[in-house]
Amino acid sequence: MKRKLSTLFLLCILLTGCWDQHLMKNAILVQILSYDLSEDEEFLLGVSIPIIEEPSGGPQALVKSETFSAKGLTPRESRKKIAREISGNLDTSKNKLILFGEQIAVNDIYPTLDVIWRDPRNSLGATLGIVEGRAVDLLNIKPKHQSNVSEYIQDALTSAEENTIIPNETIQTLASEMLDPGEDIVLPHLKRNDKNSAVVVGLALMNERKYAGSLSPQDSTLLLLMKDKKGKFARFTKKVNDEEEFNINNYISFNVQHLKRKLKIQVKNGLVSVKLNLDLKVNIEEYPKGDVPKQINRLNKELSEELTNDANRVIKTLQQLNCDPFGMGRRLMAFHPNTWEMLDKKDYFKNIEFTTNVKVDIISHGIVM
Amino acid sequence: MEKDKNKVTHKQLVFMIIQAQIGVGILSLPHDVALVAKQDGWISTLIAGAISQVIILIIWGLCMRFPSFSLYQILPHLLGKVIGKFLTLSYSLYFMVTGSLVLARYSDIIDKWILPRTPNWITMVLILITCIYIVSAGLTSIARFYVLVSPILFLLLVLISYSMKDANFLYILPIGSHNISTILKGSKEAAFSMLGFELFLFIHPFVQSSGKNKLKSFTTANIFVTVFYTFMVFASLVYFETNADIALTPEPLLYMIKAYSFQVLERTDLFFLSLWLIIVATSIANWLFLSAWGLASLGRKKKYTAFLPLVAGFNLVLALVPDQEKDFENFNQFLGPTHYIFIVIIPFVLLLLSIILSKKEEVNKV
Repeated sequence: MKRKLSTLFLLCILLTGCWDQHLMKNAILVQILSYDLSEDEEFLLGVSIPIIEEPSGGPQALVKSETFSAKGLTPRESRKKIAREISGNLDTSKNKLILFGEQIAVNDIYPTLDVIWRDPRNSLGATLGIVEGRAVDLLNIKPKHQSNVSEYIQDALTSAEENTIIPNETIQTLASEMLDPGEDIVLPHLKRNDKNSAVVVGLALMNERKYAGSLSPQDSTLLLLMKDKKGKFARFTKKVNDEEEFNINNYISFNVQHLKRKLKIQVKNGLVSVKLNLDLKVNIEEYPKGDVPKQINRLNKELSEELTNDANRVIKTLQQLNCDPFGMGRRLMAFHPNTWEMLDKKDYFKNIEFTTNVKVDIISHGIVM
Repeated sequence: MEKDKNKVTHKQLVFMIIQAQIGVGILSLPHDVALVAKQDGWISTLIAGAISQVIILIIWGLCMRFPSFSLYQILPHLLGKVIGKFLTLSYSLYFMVTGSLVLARYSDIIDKWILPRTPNWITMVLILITCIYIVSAGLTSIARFYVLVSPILFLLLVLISYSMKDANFLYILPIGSHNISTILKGSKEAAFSMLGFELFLFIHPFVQSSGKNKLKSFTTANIFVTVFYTFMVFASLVYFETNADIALTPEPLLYMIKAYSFQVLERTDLFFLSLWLIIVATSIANWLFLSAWGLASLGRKKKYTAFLPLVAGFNLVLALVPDQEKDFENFNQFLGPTHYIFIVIIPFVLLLLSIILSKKEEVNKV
């Protein structure tokens, strides 16, 4: 008995862990971080924190959000300033999203992320995004149907992910790609609408660690298909007729059901050429003109041609911006290391010759002809 | 040590060797190997396993000539009392220092990853108390405990396998682009994490089995550890870009699983670390045991348990000394050649001596 008691006593003393307590009641959880450069080239940090309001009448508490921002030299320094404004400990361990303003993104996004990797308490599951204009402005929107900005933006991103407009990546999975000289990353591109809402406007293309340009949502979907990264849906709307008077009748909408990508990289006399073939099995979702089976051959041919043209255009844009989201450089390193040694490590992507071919196959057309 | 009270089966032996080998090094192993051999690090790890196997054969050969003597008995038997005692003391000290280094690295990682504000000595004292408790129960209990905690290794395997969904297998290519000497240099880094099998030198008399079975168990353990390590290194190499990224992350395995959160579990690395803690405890217990036993066999006193607090105290003091990364490097550099002397050279010389002098234990069957 005595022994048991003394063990119990020891346990009480030794197992309490008084030093590393982080009490939830003192913590202010940050849900979004925004990084900007202000006009005077100073760093501007914005944080969005949830505010839980006592339920009034209804059973559920209302979660609102509030945004704070501060200028500083680095993210940590700005954070210190914000922490002085807020009652409680600013805690970024549950952060879900990091947004970059265009101004800071065109310089370099890597340095501001260092603190996220260095501090063990930070969440590596956060998503990155680039915002047209200032990122902190996006945190200040007041969406009508959703009182919490963070939830709102995240929902928007999730739905864009499902629709194959943006890839599903976190800060950790991006780290290696960012540091890899043979691959570039693409990030969600967001924009603040006038109506106090945010929209995903496609993909932001990065050249190494710098923001270089953007793609429209439809081109983004095509790019992701070329990367063999299909989400739940991949929808396109294309013009396939000219003669109809009422414009809606000229269009067709379809969803890609199956995707097969073939990528072949070849080196001849130091010249790199890539054959990229996409085989899409699609489901027609909207065709007001009707009677798909009769025109199926024509539609297949026309859609294949159109998407091939689009794919070529996307690749041209990528090459102009020197953004290599396919990791062609990595493939060269892996399969043709000698060629890679001789190539220009910065501009290799511009000189790759692409032959792209998209083949569309209509396999179903809904429950009407 | 009394023999009949401390029986170990040859199946338990497998787990004892595995637990002794896998320890604190596993977290940083991929980083250390990749720094030297880049994407061919996994080949280095395999080679390191093969090298350990050669050493294992030497150790086994020596042990077979003295089936009921542990190394602490072989030493005075072969070399005479004075040199024997001196070497026994050296072994004790060597195990003490190695144990301290493991302890220091353990608390360093805990300090960095989980408990930055808790004083290091607390975490050290806690694990030392646990280890003393494990070790003082005798060899049979130690063996049972090691078997009991071994499933944890599979849990670690599962966690790492999960992160493979974000791997890029192109990072591992081209295979074999580095020359042999670079890969071998990588093996040298990996070999340090393989250490621990020297435990066999001491516990083999207590294993209730034929010599052949002992070798089988010994080899099984080594193959398991080699495959386990190679997988871990491989996994980190395909997860991290092998030139820049893995060089920036000293504990790649932790980083890999830190990014994932499951329904009820966030910061998976904390979960991983708490499992890893047990794996570390077994290897610290191991060195504690061997060191205390060595000290005990110096004098007349037969019980090693009396020396446990002494060794643990020494470990604690020594482990508190390094507090910068540079200290760890110096510590490692000092220990590097010592490992070769105690694990490879001395057993090998003893084996040669016993063959040349044709000294062998008389096996008198009762």
